[in-house]
Amino acid sequence: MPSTGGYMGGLAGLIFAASPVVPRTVWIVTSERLLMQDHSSADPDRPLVYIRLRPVWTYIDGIRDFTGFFCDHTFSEPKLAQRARVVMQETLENAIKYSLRGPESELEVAIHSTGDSLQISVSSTPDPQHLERLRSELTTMADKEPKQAYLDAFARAATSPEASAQLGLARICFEGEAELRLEEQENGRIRLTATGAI
Amino acid sequence: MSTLAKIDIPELDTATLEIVNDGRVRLSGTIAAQSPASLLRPCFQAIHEAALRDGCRQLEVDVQGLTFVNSSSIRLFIDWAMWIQALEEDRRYLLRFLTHPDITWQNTSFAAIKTIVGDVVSIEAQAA
Repeated sequence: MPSTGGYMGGLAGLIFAASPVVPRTVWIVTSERLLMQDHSSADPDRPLVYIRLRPVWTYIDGIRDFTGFFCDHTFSEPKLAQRARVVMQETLENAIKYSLRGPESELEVAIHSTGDSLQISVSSTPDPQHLERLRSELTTMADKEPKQAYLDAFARAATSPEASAQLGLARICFEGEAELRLEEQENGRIRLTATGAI
Repeated sequence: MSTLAKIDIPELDTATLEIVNDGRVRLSGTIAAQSPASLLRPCFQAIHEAALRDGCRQLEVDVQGLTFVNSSSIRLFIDWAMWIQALEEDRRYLLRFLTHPDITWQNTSFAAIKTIVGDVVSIEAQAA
């Protein structure tokens, strides 16, 4: 089990993955702006949290719960932590499930804030077939209100019991109250960013 | 003893499932495994079949302590509601979800399930 001790205790925290199953190191770096209570940063490109990890399912619980903890202790909006946990779970699940394996497959997770909004982004190198589905799903959802997209996703799941749930993106938008943006790079790398008001 | 009370309950890493007082299922913790269906679908199915054998008119599922689930887990609740809806009307029972008013995923997910399946599901938000 990775040790998560002290990730909020210093200016920059680290998680070391000691498990022999997952031999690489996972880094969690939190910004010194946290201690200065300055969430509206002079440097918006610099994340409040940056995490780099291999696409391994085991990490999701820890990163999701850290995200909730982080939001709970950094912002004074009671529902924000719940929203952020949904967004982190579903973006990370999506990235890990469909990531290519190999040396270029590391994921990068970042949390940014402008003071009145929160951005959670996950960068990955997905299987090209998944990327097609992701584009298509985002295009379909863009034409709908988040609640309608959510209900449609539930209805689809109800009528396709053998298919995967595919509720994740709709959850991000409706439960997480976030807008999704997909950026693609020529090398096959993508970044899925969820932005929501604080 | 009812059939429901005799069901084998699987051990879950991050959550607890209990049959309480013969007529209530209680779930607590977090369910966000990669394939929650492998353990939980057979259990939900067994509970559903036991409810039918016992002639239950309603079954309470207390999820107030279930603080987080992933999409694949929500899907299992959708499936359960659909199993009931697929029955002839006189065999159906009411699936009563007891939810916590402050837990967002519960409020949104079970409301969406109710929108799809209608009267086979009811939702009661109560502070634990």
